[in-house]
Amino acid sequence: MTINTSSETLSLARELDESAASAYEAMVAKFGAQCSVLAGFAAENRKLRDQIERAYYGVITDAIEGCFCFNLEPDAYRVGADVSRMSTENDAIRAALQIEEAAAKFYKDAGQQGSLTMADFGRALALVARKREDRARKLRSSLQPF
Amino acid sequence: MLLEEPIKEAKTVRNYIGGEWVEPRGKPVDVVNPATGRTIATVGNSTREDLDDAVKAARAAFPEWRRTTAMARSRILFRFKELLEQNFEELSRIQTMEHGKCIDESRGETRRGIENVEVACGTPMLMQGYHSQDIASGIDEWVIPSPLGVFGIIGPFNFPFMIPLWSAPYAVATGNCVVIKPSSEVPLSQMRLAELAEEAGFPPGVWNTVNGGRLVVDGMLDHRDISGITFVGSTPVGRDVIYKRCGETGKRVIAQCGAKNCLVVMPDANVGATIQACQTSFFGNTGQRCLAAANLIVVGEDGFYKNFMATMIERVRQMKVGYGLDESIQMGPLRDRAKKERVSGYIDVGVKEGARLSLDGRLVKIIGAYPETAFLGPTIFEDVEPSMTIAQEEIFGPVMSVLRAGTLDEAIEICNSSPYGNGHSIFTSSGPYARHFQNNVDSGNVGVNIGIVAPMALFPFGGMKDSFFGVLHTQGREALRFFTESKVAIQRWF
Repeated sequence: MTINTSSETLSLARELDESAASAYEAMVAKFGAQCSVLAGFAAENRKLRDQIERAYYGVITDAIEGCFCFNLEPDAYRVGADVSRMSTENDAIRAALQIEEAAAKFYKDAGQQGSLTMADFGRALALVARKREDRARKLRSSLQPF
Repeated sequence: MLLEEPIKEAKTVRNYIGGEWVEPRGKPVDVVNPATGRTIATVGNSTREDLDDAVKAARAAFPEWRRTTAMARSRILFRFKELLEQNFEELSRIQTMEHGKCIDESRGETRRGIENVEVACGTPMLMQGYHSQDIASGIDEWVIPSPLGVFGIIGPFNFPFMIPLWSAPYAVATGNCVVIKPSSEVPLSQMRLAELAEEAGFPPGVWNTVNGGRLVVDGMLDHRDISGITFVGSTPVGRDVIYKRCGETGKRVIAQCGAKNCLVVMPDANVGATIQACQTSFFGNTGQRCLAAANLIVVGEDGFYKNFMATMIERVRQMKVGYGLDESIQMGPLRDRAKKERVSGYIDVGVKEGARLSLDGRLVKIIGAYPETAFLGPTIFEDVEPSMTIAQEEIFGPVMSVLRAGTLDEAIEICNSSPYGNGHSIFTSSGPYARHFQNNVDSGNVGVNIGIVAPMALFPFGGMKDSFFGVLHTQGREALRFFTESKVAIQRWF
């Protein structure tokens, strides 16, 4: 179902970041040092989530269009990662890249929609979008050619 | 996602008087969650004796409290603010349970309430007086802002947490004591607030809460030991009861009352952003705001009007109505069945008077299996004439009345023909239109591309005409002036 409210957008951000962090931790556990960059991502996800929560709770007021500014389809941003079926670290990096690209798109869309009315919240989302785009670039460059 | 309810079993709401939790003497009534229909609390209807006890406790606490340094009072407010932050989510969910508003709105209300505590924390500097040396040879003169004593704060049902905080933090920060009377329909967040005030360390008697109805209000108005009243509610009560009787008994008064706010849309407005702002303004808090828009005045040609309204109606039709603890919900129920019937009655009147019902909220499908007792969907009337009842009277529900105007001046004339003057707003991308509107509309709060013209805690909450009775306003510096007397001292030493 389409997401319209700020609180639901925040919950989706939490869900996406938490499931990504769990997937990255599982990848690190399976592939060890080759995936160490993902351990950093998992820890950073939790920091970014705190940053977004602070922006939301700090700016939301009864005068702001918190219930009407979003129009997001959550399934477009949910990417599954089955670590048990990955056989090489390259598989893990490829899966992480998909997760990061989807997350970057989510934060970009949400940041644009939120910027009209809940400016601080929108800005925080847009900042995370840029971080996730950076991560995706880093992952792309570390993919081993077939 | 449906958030967890913080109230699991029906609570008993007590009065907080002189640092003690006491049962009101009067008969208890149920507090019902308007979305689920479940009783979440019972609250006693306090008597005159209950109020007397509270005022006596406040009066007894006053001499010591006013002598407490402003810095020490402020430190208690800082602790209070910290406790409000720690309990932010619980406070917000309680508001949704007792009032019906959706969770984003409740969190917004909590934030706005806390902002007033933050501003009041700056009182030691804000309440400094002023001084002239040698106004005559060897004579100096000071203004010393001094607290007055005990203030009564009468809260409404629509913002159960925030509105008492437009006054109470400033009153206690300046050395006064308060007796808060929450609306008996929504007493739970004020009970929690009093618990946190106790935990923050306000001395017994400084912060008191007395639940009840008219008996308590009458008692406050007559009470010789109450120096002033702040009130938020309807115009007939604010003007004919509160303001009048405070005048008769020599009390200071702030009476913030009803409204019929207009949003004027110019053809050069940013359509997407304007529609979002309209949704929140007309339908946020289920229209139960004194700053909610009621009349939408569209200026311009048929082509612009048709496209604008087609998009508006489509967006509003898709709004999700249900229990506010479901995060997907955009609009909750009205506070109770009687309020729903009152608003439905206005919809009947609109149809009878010839307005075109483009979206009928009575046919709403709510999300979730909840009783429909208090739910009413968003409603839009087009072809509304300024003389119609729905364009003139305060409906206090999710009803948008759409009027047309040929020019900006015509639109301003419609705004100014209302007896109210609370919060009119214009949507435009033209500076000259905005300036012309701001300078010519009779409204205590004026917006340019703002849906809800609610001033931040740093600024006074304005209001004109039948929307406000008094001189000074709640919030910010004006609140500090309201709660202090300007004592003037002149000194000469021989």
